[in-house]
Amino acid sequence: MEYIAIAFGAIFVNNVILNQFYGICPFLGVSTKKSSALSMGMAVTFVMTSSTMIAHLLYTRVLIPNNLEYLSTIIFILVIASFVQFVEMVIKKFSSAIYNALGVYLPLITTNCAVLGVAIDTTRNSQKIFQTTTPTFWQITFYAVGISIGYALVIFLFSAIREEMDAYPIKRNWQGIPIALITAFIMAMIFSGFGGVV
Amino acid sequence: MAKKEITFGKIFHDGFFKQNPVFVQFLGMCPTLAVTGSVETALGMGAGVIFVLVFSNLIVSLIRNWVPSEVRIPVYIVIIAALVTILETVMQYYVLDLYLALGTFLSLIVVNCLILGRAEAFASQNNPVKSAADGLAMGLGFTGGIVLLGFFRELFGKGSITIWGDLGIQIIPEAFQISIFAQASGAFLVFGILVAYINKIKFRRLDQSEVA
Repeated sequence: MEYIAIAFGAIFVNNVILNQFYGICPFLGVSTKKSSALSMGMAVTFVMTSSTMIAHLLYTRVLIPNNLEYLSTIIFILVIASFVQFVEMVIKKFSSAIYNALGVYLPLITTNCAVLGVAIDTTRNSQKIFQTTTPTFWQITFYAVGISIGYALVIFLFSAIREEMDAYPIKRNWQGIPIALITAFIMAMIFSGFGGVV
Repeated sequence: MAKKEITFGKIFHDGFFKQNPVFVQFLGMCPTLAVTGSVETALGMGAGVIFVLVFSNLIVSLIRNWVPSEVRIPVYIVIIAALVTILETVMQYYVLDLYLALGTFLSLIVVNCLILGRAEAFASQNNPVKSAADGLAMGLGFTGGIVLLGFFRELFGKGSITIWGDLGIQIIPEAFQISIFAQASGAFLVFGILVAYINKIKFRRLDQSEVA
């Protein structure tokens, strides 16, 4: 039950885009078509879940015993960048179908601040989310899965709205980013309604 | 290179208006939305970004002839991450309140596309002095943008403007505050309206120049 609450809270209440503002650039950039939003969502889900688990193990097994917590930012970004490279190589080698669908989005994930942000939130700043400085591995995993599903869900819903919006005339100065931000505002208000659930 | 030499005046004009990172280029939008709940955090974030941007541009420009172009992006990321680690340590020691208010977003300066973007687009092709000036101009443009956003959000959401610590002023009485502006969703609303208004000015100028 505790794990379900963590995952639900991560998907809806603390939604990574609408509540914590992580990963806004791809959120606005890659959400003009439903298919590309879905690919981006899947790529982020996989990378974010795995890299959060790697970051957690690194932090608790290597950095804390050696008193190197202050190096976590620089180590996490290197781990994420090399992990993304590694995933790209593996996918390219084994499945050209998946590579054609996700390949373009993988390099973008390195600079997606959601991945680094969640890695830091679950290690150094874990007090805010888990009310403890030493969350267990499974708590972290369920949180990371929830956060990534929340990311994929919101970016897909948003792209569906934006595709519909293309059919309507919009004033020239509101086209593109401004109207997208207003749409995100309405979605954020809807998601803030989940606030009392968990 | 036959490219025309870029002047300092143009660097600063680009940073503030023509290529403003917040309202024109839309770079580094995560901190733009997240730390603009008040003017104070926006100023703190701006100061951090200026520090990292000036020094990363300077260092990237100094080493631009030695780094092979295949590995330049990882090298830039390591330089930026090292600068951010310095910034974190210094801020944690001297301004702990601000450090806690900015939270994870201080570390996320590493993946702020503005900094990597300027290293790649400007510092890797220009001399160190001009690169540092570009970093300062872009950093100030970014700070100006997020402080403007923070100003409107704090004014309507909390009715007050706080510049630093107790140095602030209550403008709108408590009964007339609209709390949605200070909440997460208000960031999208204020940013969207500001961008639309700036676009309107931009298009009006374009129309005028076409007529003339």
